[in-house]
Amino acid sequence: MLHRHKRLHDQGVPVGMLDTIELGVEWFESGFRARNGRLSLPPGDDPFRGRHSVSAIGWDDGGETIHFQNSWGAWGDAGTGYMPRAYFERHVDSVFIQRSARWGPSPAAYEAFEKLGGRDAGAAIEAQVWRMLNRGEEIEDVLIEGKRHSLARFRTYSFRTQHVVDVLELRHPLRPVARCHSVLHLDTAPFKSVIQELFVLPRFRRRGYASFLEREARELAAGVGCGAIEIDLYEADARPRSKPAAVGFADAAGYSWQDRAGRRPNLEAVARRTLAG
Amino acid sequence: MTRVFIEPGNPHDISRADLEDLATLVREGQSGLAVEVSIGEEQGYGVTFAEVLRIYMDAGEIAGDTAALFAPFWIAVRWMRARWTRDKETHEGEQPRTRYVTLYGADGKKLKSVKIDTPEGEPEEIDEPESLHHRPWPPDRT
Repeated sequence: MLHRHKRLHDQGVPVGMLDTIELGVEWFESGFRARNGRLSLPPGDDPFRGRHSVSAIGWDDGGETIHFQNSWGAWGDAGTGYMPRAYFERHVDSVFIQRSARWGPSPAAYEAFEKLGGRDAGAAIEAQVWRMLNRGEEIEDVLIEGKRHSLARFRTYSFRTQHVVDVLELRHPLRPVARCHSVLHLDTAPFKSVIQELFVLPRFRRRGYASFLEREARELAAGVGCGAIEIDLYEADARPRSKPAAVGFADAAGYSWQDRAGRRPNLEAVARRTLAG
Repeated sequence: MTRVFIEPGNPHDISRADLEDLATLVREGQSGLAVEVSIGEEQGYGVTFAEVLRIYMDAGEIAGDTAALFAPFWIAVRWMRARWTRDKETHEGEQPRTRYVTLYGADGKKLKSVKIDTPEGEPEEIDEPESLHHRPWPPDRT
């Protein structure tokens, strides 16, 4: 798990988006003064000071030492410390894995806010709350059809495949109206990006939102060196009523289609476009 | 009789014997006080780098006498500074753990708080926003 943590972090997923591994540690007086945060087995007369919690963030010495983040400001090695295997085996009494979850923004959350505070009075508070709860977003103003929108971007990862996922969300003015999830496959040659979700709320369709998000996803993919970008067409979106719109959208954006029937996920086809190297 | 409780933030930081010594100092420093040491149970994980000492005082009877109200607190501050100094002398060249001493009234509100963290160990009064969480009175400890 620490290997995956390190890889995803190296690929740009912020720490706040990653699982954390919390270690419940028996702490001793000598630990307060551990030079450079390097814990050593406490001598028999070292006073016990209680149970402490630290986050494992990596390893050292070929896996014999756990690198951990402490919560005491500048203590140790710039706030981090090192725990040898012997200390872990004798003085760690619990290990918790904590998975991050985003709290909105979502249409449901937006409706709830409206009910609580009303559109006018609540808008600024609502934006603050969303941003506070979902740190790590980059937000910029963009113009679409002459109207100001917010484009929020954040990088997370897929619990299922462990790939990096770039999320793009358009808001107008603060309400989410369209979203794109593009999954970066950085373990293929060449790298590729797969748009797994591209969704516009029904009453906001045919305004160019999907095209805007597809272009953004393509630029992001090219920016990390992807040689191709794909759009998955799922069975649910390939019904007679909706398939022509999906195919027309991808054709207009320069993609070519390949049938690729698959189960779990239930794929019908994949649209692919090569990106300039 | 005015009741005073002395409680460490971390039950493993300061021994009962040491806290009883402090209680004796407080009794000797001001008459008419019922001073008790109160040590709680360890609550989950989360040792703090700072060593914390809480003084709870049922100050109603002496509320008008500021000197009397704060006398036990300042005795505790001097005592904590002595611990800090001893720590510094024992581990030469290393900055000792930060110390905090806080006085609470019977309504659970913070009345005064001091931090000991300068290179010379000079106590500094700290004035942080009042927490919405008020500590229970009397502290329900064993």
